[in-house]
Amino acid sequence: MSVGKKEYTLRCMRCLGGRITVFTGDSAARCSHCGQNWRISWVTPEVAKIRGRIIEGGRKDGASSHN
Amino acid sequence: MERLAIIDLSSEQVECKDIPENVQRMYLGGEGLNAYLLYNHLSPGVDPLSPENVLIFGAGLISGCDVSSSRFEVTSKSAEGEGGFGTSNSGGFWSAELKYAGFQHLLIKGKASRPTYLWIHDGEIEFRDASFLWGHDTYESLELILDDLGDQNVQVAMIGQAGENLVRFANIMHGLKRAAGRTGMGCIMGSKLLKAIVVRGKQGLKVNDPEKLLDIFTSHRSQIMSTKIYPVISRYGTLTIFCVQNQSGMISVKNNQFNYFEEAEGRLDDEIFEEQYKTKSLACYACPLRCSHRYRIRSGPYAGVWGEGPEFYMMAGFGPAVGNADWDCILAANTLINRYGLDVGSTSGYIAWLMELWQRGIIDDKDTGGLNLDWGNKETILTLIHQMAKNEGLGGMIGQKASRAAVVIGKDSARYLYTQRGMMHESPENTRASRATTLAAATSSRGSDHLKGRCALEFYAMPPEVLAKIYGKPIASDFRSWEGKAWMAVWTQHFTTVVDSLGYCKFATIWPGSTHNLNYKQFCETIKAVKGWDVTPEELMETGERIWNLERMFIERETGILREGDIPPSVYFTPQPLEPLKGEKIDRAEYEKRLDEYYEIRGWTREGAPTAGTLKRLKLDGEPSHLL
Repeated sequence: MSVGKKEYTLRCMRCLGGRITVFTGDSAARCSHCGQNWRISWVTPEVAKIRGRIIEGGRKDGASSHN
Repeated sequence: MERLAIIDLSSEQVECKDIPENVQRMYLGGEGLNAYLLYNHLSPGVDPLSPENVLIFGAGLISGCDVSSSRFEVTSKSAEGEGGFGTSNSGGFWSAELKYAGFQHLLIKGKASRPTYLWIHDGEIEFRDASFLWGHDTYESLELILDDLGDQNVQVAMIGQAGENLVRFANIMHGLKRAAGRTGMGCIMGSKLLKAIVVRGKQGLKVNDPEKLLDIFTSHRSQIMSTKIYPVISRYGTLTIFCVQNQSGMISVKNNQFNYFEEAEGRLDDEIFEEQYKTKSLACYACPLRCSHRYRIRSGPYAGVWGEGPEFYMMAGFGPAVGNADWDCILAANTLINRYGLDVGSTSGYIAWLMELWQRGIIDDKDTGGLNLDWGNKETILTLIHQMAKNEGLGGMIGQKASRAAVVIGKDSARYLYTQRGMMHESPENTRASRATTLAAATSSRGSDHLKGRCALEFYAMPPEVLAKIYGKPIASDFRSWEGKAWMAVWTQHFTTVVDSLGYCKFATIWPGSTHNLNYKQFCETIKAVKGWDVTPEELMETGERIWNLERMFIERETGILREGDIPPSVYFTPQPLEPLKGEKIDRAEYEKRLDEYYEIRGWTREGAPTAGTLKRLKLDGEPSHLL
């Protein structure tokens, strides 16, 4: 529930354009554009940031770009 | 009137000159006036490590006056790479103290007959024996100097053993972590047997309108502290960039083989650093950002190791770039790097290169002296740092040869070495998906330079109308688009050059992507209060362009490498392997087309040389003018 909580907007670091809305104290949020689920932390009670991704599938290594 | 001291280490003579106002208005101070002095005082074709090379220190024009303006620039003919334009920039307290001591610029020539340090205080310059400092690292040297002078408030710029041993990518260090890095300015200082420059002044600063300056200082401080980036930077410093770069797939992993480092999840981030290692925050002179840290490793094999920093570059360069996800190792490496006075980007870049050569079987344990170069091998990482600084073993060879090490190793080693203008590509950078940043970094004067090339506003998908308002021309919101990006690169290069000539920290300006931070308008306000000059943003932009072109003239004169030096490392033309930027690369033909556009905007030939008309427009057609 977002009642009484402040809203903060983050930029998705996966689709690099979509904006994610979080509310004070949220510890996770999903980008509605690309579906990436993120761990959220709070720098101050008013300022949030993405801390890292929540890995929901297996590891997705590609081939080295040097081949 | 600001003063220049010309210091001859060979004869131990000093000549002081007032800096004419017309020269200041054309080149400001810091980087700009350093470039002018280098072009005018260095004879063409001189070996960078010879006594004939000059080493120039310059405080910014307004260093010590405004908020977040305490940076200084060190400039010379480069020791790393092709002997081009060498320059580097550091924060701290040194530049303000130099001004209080009565000088804005120092031009050092010749070579001392014994290890020497300079003691500059209240208009006086003394040559002092530094034999007791030679062989000591920067932490030890700092303590010894404070004891020798009996003054805990002096500010010190110095070299560690890396500079003494002429490592091509040695830094000049200030305090415990501030570094004038890249292009081997510490190597040049070591070649002159100059261990340190110590400054202390009580002369104060003469400014045109002190009351107005105080108002401006207060206003600029509030402006910086009201931005969204402020609480993040003031708590985590540049470490916070790591998450952005890694999650966006713009980081170098294992020598640019990959662009996202999954091992970092839950192990390497700014908050873990704060929780487990950080002991305090630190700031440069008169800066509210306080983006630096002091840390201590509390347990494990490196328990008790302490130091200052680290920056994003350390975290990424000794993290993903070398396949390491261990904070302890990164911090132990950070302390070593700072004590020895080595450059982070080059040191980690060469270690990453060697590890890829090991991975591919191009070198084996006979080449490495028994070292195991598996990715993330912590002891090997630290051993190679020791070797580079002390000129021992495989690391020593790398430190002495730099990019020419590929000739020594031979086989297919050069294929995996990413350099520009002969200088190691900044190891953490893997921004090939962003067009303006790639172009601006690749065309920068020293080569591969994110401090001139990072067009941070490119990354934020900002509305076109906002970008047009800032840059004055249409710029595409998508960082993968080339539309308007040649102009964005030019604009950013001029802006960062003005910032480095005034002495501001880039993180107090709009450069890191905060549109509400200081911009040309605020710079003009400060210049008016400090110097009494009525300067417009347009005039400052042209000043940035003038300085940029003078640096290009130096590069043309000393190396002749123009267009071929403006090409990013070969790996930028190969596709990124991992999401979210999988498949992204720079198309070579498109890059060449955009380089043509960039040259056209600049008024340069297709080969990348300023035309006679451009030099005349910028009042550079009379250089070298020997006005100072």
